[in-house]
Amino acid sequence: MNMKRLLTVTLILMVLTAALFAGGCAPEEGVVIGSKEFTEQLVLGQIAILALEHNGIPTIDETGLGGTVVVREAQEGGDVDLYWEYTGTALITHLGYDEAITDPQECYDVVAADDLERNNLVWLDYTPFNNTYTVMMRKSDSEAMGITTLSDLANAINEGVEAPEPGTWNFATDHEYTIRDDGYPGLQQLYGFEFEDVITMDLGITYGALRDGDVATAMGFATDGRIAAFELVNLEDDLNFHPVYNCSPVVRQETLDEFPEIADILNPIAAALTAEAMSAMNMEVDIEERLPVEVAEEWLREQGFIE
Amino acid sequence: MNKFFRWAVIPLLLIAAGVVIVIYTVNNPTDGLVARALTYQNIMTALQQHMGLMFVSMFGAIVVGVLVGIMLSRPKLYYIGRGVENIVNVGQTIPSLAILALFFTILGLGFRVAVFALFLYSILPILRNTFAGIIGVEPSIIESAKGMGMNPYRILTRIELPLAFPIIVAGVRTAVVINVGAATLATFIGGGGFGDLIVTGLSVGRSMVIFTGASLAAITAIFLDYVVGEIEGRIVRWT
Repeated sequence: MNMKRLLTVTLILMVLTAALFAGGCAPEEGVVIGSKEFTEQLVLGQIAILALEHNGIPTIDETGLGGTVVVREAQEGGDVDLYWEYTGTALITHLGYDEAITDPQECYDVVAADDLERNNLVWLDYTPFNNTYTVMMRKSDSEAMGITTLSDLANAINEGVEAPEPGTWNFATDHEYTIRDDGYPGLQQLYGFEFEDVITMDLGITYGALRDGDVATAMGFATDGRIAAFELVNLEDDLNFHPVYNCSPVVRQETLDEFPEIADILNPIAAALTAEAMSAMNMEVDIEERLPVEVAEEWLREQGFIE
Repeated sequence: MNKFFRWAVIPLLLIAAGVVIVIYTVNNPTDGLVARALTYQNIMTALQQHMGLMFVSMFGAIVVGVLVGIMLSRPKLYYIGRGVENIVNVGQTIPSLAILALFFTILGLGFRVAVFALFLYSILPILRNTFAGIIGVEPSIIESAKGMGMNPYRILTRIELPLAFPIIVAGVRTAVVINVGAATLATFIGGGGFGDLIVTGLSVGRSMVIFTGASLAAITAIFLDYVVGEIEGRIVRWT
């Protein structure tokens, strides 16, 4: 009796273990989706996974893989089939161009053609959002003073318009932006103005410094969630000084040959990813501390890409 | 003349070294990014901010640290003094970056907040050494002074302070060296100084910018340590 029961339990356990191993060891089939490790990339990775799965294409989640170079090398080596990359990053970092291109279409065309020819990687359509450097003001000041573009800002400073809190046209920046080719010295030159004072600080605190009225303007990254959360606004770069960092799903040619419908699935999604949509999702994750997959699913539902 | 020359030769050498480094790096930038960071104007601004950070905070720290140290060493406050000494000892174990970050969260950012944080941080070694120096004076010496009819004020100025002086100055020198180092961290909260150069260089991987910022900060530290040491020697001879 006792012996029998023991035998049964052992048998069940063995079968279960075998099933687990079989499940784990079975050759995985599907499109491997990768991403870099920061918030925006995690959300984009989940969007791609959910959209492909919804359309019956099996996927394997390898999001949050590592830094830019790690993910890119994984893709070139065939371990990752698809991930979202920024045109500006690919241009400078992966393809080794030394001059930035500030027109989104032109940058995309160069990158897409070159990457296909050299690495057999296909760039699907790019997003309207552009995660580049941005100069920000508080929304209330921007509305009250009618400053919505960098040219407006330059005019205001040159005409001696009184600055909002703290009463001087100062500018909070991180260290890198003071020295980069696409940093603020070049910006001032192109727009023909000068900040009255520039305060260099750690990147993470420029948003808060602007919110708290320590500075009148600050630099940041265009799709950061804190811009919306802190009621800040990006000033439009109307002379296109900053290089563009639009984002595209990049797929290996072999994967696309196998699942040609990937392009039709992801292209409309990329087109719907505006700066507002992206930064709202980043904020949901960064400020509200929700999971990237939840945020991605909610957005896809709202937009009607999945039911 | 000879004496002055001997006194001045090391500071002058240090200044010369700093000037040579600045002229060399400004005129031989390794690329455009380095040229943008290392201009005479940028370096002068960093120097001014760095000096401002240090001098204001050190001056305040010496005044407050020595006065509070003396006060706490009076017999009536002695036990409070022991307590404060313990708190100060604990305070000194907090890393300088943490102090700056802490005051950033309370007071916001900028030069003044950095000065205030450095000021509080520099008080610690000065206060502790002043207290310890005065407490450490042989009780028999004070007894004899009393026996000679000295009042407490004269005992303090003629006996206790002169005897404690080397220890107090050692505290000041410690504070100066800590201060120059901590001042390079002010850049993270918008305080400026040589830290601007160091961190900018780090952020884009340009070692010439890092080298210039770091060596100028080091030269400043050695320079000030030497000056304080010399002043110590002078005053000891004078008392």
